[in-house]
Amino acid sequence: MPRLIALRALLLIVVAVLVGRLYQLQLVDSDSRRFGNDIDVTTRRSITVPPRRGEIYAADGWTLLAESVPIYNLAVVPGRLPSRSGEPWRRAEVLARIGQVVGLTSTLTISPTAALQERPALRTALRNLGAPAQITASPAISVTVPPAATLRALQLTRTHSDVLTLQSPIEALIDREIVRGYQSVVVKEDISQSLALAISENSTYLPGVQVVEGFRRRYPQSAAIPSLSHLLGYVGRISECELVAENPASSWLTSLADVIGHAGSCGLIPKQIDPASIGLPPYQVDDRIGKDGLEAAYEAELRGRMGIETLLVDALQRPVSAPERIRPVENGHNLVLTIDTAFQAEVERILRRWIAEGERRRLAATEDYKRNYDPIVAGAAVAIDPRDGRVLAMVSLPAYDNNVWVDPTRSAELQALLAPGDPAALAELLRLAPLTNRAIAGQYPPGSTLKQFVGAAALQQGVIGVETRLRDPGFLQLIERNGAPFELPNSVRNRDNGELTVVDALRLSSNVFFASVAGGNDQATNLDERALRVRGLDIDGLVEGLEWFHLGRPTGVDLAGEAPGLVPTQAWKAQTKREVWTTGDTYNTAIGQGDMLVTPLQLAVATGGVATDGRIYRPHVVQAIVDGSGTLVRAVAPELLGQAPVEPAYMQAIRQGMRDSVTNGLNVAAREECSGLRIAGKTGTAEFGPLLTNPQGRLVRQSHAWFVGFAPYENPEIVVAVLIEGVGDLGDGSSTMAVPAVTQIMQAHFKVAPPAEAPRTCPAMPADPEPAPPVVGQP
Amino acid sequence: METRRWREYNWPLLVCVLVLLTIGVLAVYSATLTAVTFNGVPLSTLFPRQLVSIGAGLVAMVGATLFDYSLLSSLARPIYLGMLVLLASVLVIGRISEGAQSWIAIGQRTFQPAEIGKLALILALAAYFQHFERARSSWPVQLGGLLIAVPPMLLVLVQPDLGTAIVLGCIWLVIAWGAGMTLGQLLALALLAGPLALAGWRYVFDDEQRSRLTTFYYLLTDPSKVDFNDGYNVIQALSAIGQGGWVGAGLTRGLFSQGNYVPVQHTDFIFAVIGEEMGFVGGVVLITFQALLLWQALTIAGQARDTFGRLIAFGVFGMLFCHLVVNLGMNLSLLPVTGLPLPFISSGGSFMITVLTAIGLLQSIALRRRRLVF
Repeated sequence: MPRLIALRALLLIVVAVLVGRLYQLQLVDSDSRRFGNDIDVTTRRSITVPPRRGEIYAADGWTLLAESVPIYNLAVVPGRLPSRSGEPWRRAEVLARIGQVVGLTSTLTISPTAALQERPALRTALRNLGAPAQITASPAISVTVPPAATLRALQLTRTHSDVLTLQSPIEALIDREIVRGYQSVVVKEDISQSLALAISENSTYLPGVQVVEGFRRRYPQSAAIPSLSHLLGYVGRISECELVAENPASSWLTSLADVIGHAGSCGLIPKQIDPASIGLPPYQVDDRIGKDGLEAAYEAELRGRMGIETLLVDALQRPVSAPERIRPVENGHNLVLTIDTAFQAEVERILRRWIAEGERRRLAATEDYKRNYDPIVAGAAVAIDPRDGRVLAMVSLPAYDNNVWVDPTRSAELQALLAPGDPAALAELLRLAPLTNRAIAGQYPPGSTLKQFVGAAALQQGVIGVETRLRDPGFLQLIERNGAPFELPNSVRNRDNGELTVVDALRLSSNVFFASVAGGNDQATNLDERALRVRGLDIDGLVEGLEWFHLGRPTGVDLAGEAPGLVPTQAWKAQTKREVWTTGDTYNTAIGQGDMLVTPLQLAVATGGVATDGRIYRPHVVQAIVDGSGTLVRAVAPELLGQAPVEPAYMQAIRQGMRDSVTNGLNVAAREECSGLRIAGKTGTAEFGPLLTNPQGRLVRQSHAWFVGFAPYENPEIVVAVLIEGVGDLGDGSSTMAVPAVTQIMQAHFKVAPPAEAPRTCPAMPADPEPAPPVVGQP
Repeated sequence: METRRWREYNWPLLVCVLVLLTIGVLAVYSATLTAVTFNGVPLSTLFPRQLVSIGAGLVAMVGATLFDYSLLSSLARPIYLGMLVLLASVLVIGRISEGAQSWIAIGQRTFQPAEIGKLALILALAAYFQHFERARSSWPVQLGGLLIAVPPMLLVLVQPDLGTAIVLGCIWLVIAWGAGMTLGQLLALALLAGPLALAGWRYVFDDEQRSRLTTFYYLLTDPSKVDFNDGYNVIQALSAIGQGGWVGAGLTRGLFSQGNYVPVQHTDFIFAVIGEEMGFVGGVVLITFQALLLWQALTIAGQARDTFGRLIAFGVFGMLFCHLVVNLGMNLSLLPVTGLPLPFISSGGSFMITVLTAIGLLQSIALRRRRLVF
């Protein structure tokens, strides 16, 4: 039957075609993969395991200063959200749902607003959502939707889809150029465990929404000891520029492309090239990175390395296999500091006490102009061990609690610290600069605390001998080469000191003596013929001597944000000020004024050099790096920065002068009978700010009070530098405030109580202010 | 007489059915083991229901075998009219599922009237051509056959269920061919097909169906142009089949099949599961037994004692052949995506019962075939 045969033939042809096609798809390799849907690409997912950031411990090895607390974060994977074009409503609903549960604020835009007039129901509904009652006739208005009303707003948008659009803040996070579709973008950090569980269980209804584990930084001691905040620094979300800079490129070509691509926003970034870096970059979007202090300086040690795991997933992205470890996570190393929290707290308390005393004196000052000084709020104290450079305490006031950076609930405080809206508050903030670590980043004229180094340089360079006596009539006058007269006073009193050795000069803090050894007194016009004339170090010799003590460049302390200070030179002045160097400039530099600047840490380190016959160690806050189990990874060894080439005998003379300034000079509080310690040191009253006229009609300036000292005198174990801003002329601030502050800090260090039966000459110590001065950044 | 009659029973057909049902049971088991619907409802409850459906279908098959098919000749007209009423009513009271209004609920269960419609159309056309025994090849009679086929086709197209409309068209074409359609009529039909296809593209197809055709076009010509979302089902099915190799990953071991990657893998795309988990060998066994079964259907048609029986066999062949070609063509990306289940294999009660009933009809025809005269 031909009709049957035709159908049978058709059947055979169809069978042949089907089997042929099956053969092609299953057994001809290339065709089975022609959609690029390799099974691994489709079903295998890589997940990153964030490393636990290393913790920071105090010197005792167990007091936690910075810890990593495990938390749950809510994240979205942009590529798995319902698509913007395909399922806009489903997407909006997913985003609104998570916005509502985690408390994100969405924006509702009404355009055109004419619809509000036509639809009273809409107007009422909007008012219930918190829209302003008065609707302006603008083309479009935006209403901020409180998180709790997000779903209600979405419902409303659905009803009035022609005029309303609901914008979730998540969209903006996703739209960043740097975000890739498969990456998870953290939307809300630190959600509760129950919420995390609920979201995980409802993942089917929240496509693209994930709960990822992470860590939150916490600084347990910073609230009680805010001065730790400057040391510890803080971590923050990595910026785009940091991301480009930190992630090495795989080739010079991609490196170039990256650098050029970001040159507009970041400037020129140095970028590492590492051919082995293909794959997972060390930093991802939304990672945390150390931004300041130790967190920044030890970023490489603290961070650790991300682990990679892969697992098989089904089409709904549900895992169908146990994760397989590709690269184990390497947690960050822990730091053990040289800082003892009890001592740090004590130093902070002492500095706070003397700042409060300064403020009390300002308010009680008899002179009007002194009462008009800005409130006394700031100071810094640094204690180091001169024998190895260990930083024993470092305090900068005003301080703040660095938890504001990492605690999302304290964002308002952070905002007040960064950019308060009120202009007056902003001006006050700039003056207080609570985020600045004054101990390393505050650059101040050192005043007379520079004299021990000038003296050492003059002795070593042969300008004077130990026994050389120079005439100090109380002031020094000369005619500059350009014909202008110059006068350098000793101090307000201008007392005739007669003839002085370097030891006497240090004891009396003679400006004339040190100006003479630096700039020479051969041109002075107010010295009689019998006076010994010296040529002086001149500025070049002075600069060389100051550099022996590592002034004018960073000490290399292991903290981010150190300032270099400034030792002015002829070249510097010519370049910066376009002026010729004068002898008066040398005079000013020699007494720590003019353009000379140091940080409190620099001063302590340089003085440590005097205390140890010239050995200058790099100051360091970290004594050891240990791993998670407490095994030592690396101990920080003392690092000699340099040896000042000064004869020990000359150093001894300088130390003698510093000792005499305590035993025979004005620095009574440091005397053994008052302190129980054998202290040597040098005060400084460093002028700053505009010229003022005092009641006697003399031009004066406000000044900072310094004291830098070491103890015990014969065998120094500690150097302490204290700076109190603006109190130099409030009852001789350096010797009556900075000196007792240093003394108390040393007493705390050596655990020596002041002698019970102190002579009457010992000054009375003020009690701690009550209540403690408010610290910016704390409620 | 009984002994002789059972000697007439087409045992190869039964063997084909049992082999295919076995493959089907295994495939449905594996396809529903871990799968969930797009909103997360597990499909594993479908497997026991499938077993029940097969049981019911076998009962229907045996019933149809024992029933003398020629008695249906006189019932063809009421069956046809009843089918039209059912198809029309489904548009009014039917339930919408997966985009088409093609289900009617009876108590807890639902069924698709379109499935019954296939059998009803077979009976109606067979009875019609038997009625015009002498002039089956004439233009008016052939046109009359088309007029019988068009109303149910239109009714299912409106649901919209393009696949069933194609099956109904196939049934008509094969029966008309078996009844004596001339080559001239076939040529006229082919000439009409062009303008009809254009009209269909313009006025009948919706965007969804059009995108399926363009997707198919790109799949054949330039796969890189295929929109991933539009071609998702096909791409995933192809990827799954491509994983199979010679013997497949093994039952319940396919990554795509078990990982929910292939949508509707328990019904329309069940061949992807077979391809991935049973490999080339499994796929060829399936195609071979489907072809043997269809071969037997044609054998039975050739031996039928009367035109009615012969045309029923042709119709059943048309129905099963159409399902096989459209379904495998879609799974292997030889034809555009059209939702039709694979006979004996896919999960689904109405269709399973329909197909097994049709097999029963074939056996009924075989049992009552022409006596061989020596």
